[in-house]
Amino acid sequence: MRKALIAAALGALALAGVATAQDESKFPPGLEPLSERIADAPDIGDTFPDVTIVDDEGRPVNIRSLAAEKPYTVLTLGCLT
Amino acid sequence: METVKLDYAAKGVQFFYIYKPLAHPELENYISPFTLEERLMHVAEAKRRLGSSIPWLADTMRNDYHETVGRTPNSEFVLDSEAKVVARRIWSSPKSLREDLAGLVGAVEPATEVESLDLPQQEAIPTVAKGIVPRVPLPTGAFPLEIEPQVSDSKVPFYAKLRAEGTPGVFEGGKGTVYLGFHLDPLYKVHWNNEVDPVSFSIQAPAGVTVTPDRGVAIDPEEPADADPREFLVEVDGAQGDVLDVNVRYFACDDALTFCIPVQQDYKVHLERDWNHDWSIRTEADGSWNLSVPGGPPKDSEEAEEG
Repeated sequence: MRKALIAAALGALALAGVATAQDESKFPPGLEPLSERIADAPDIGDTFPDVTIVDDEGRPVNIRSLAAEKPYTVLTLGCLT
Repeated sequence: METVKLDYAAKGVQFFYIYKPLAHPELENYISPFTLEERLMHVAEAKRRLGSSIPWLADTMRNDYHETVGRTPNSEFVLDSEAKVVARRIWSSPKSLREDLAGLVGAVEPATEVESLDLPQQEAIPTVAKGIVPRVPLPTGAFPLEIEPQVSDSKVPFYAKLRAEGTPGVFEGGKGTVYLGFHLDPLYKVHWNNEVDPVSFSIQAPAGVTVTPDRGVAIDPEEPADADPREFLVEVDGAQGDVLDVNVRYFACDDALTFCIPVQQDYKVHLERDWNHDWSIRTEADGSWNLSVPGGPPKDSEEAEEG
C-alpha cells in the first residue's frame, strides 16, 4: 500500500501508472474538478501557447522551440507531492 | 513512463517531465519552494527519488505552464513538431500514452516491461526529532491561501516556510479560521534551536480587519533541537482579498552544526485561495500519511480520467 501511495505522490513520476478519478458531485469549496480545469487547457488540434519555462539549470526553454526539435514531444507534469 | 521512453525515443519521440507547484504540500514533509533556485532543488530531489532517464524541466515561479494547462496536477500533452496538440490527458497514463505513440509512429513490440528496469525508489530526506511538538489540527475544509514571501536583501533562505490555509469562509468572504504553519524545509537540512527563544509570530492587519490572536509564541520543548512544525490558528474577520502582514522570528541551525543564526522573515498572506495547490497532506511523526481530502472526495481510483 505504501509503495502505491509513494507512486501516487510522485504523480507524473509514477512508473506503475497510478490514476485518479474524482467524484465531482461532492467537491468541497476550494477544490475544482479536473474536468473543469482541463477545459482551460489547449485541446487536440490547438497550437500549444507560446510558453517559456526553464531547464534543470534554470536556462530558458520555449515549449514551441522544444517541440520543433523532434517529430513528437511528450510533456508530463509532476512534483514531489 | 520510463519504459515508454525507452521504446519510443528511437522513433523520434522526446520526453520531458515538468516540475510544477506542489499538489499536496507537506506530503513527506516537502514544502513549497519560494524561489526558482529552490524549485530547481526540488527537481534535483525528484531526480534522486525517481532515478529516471527522462529529463526534467521546471515551470516558472509564475507557474506559466501550470496555468496554461488549467492547473491540472498530473496532465500529459503530446505535441507534434509544429507544437500542435496531438494527444492529451488529465492524468498521466503510460499505458494510454503508449497507445497514442503506437498510432503516431508505429507500435514497438515487444514493449519493455517495468520489471526489467532497475530504478529503485529512494526514500525521502529524513528529518530530526520529529513528534515532540503536538500538531495543531487543520480546520475542517481548509485549503492553501496565497502567500508572498518577502525576500530581503540579506538573502538568508527561508529555512522555515510558512504555509497558510483558510477555511472556506476565509477564501470566500474573508471571515474564518486561518492556519499558520511554519515548516522547516527538509532540503536545507536544518533544525530549530530550542536552547534560545522559541518561534514567535506577529500579524499586522489593514484597517477594519481583526485578527485574534495577532501574535503568538510556540511552545518551548525541552529537547535541544527538533524539526517539528510550529503551528497556530487565528480567527480573521475581514473581506476576501484582504492582505495580512505576517512576521516570524526563529533560530535555525543546520544539521551539520556549521551555523546557528537568528532569522526574521516576513510574508503577505492574502485571504484568497491559492489555486496552484490542492489540499495539503499531513505527514505524521512516524512518516505515515493519507491521500484523502478530509471530509470526502476526491478519492483514489484505479480508473483513469482522460480528456
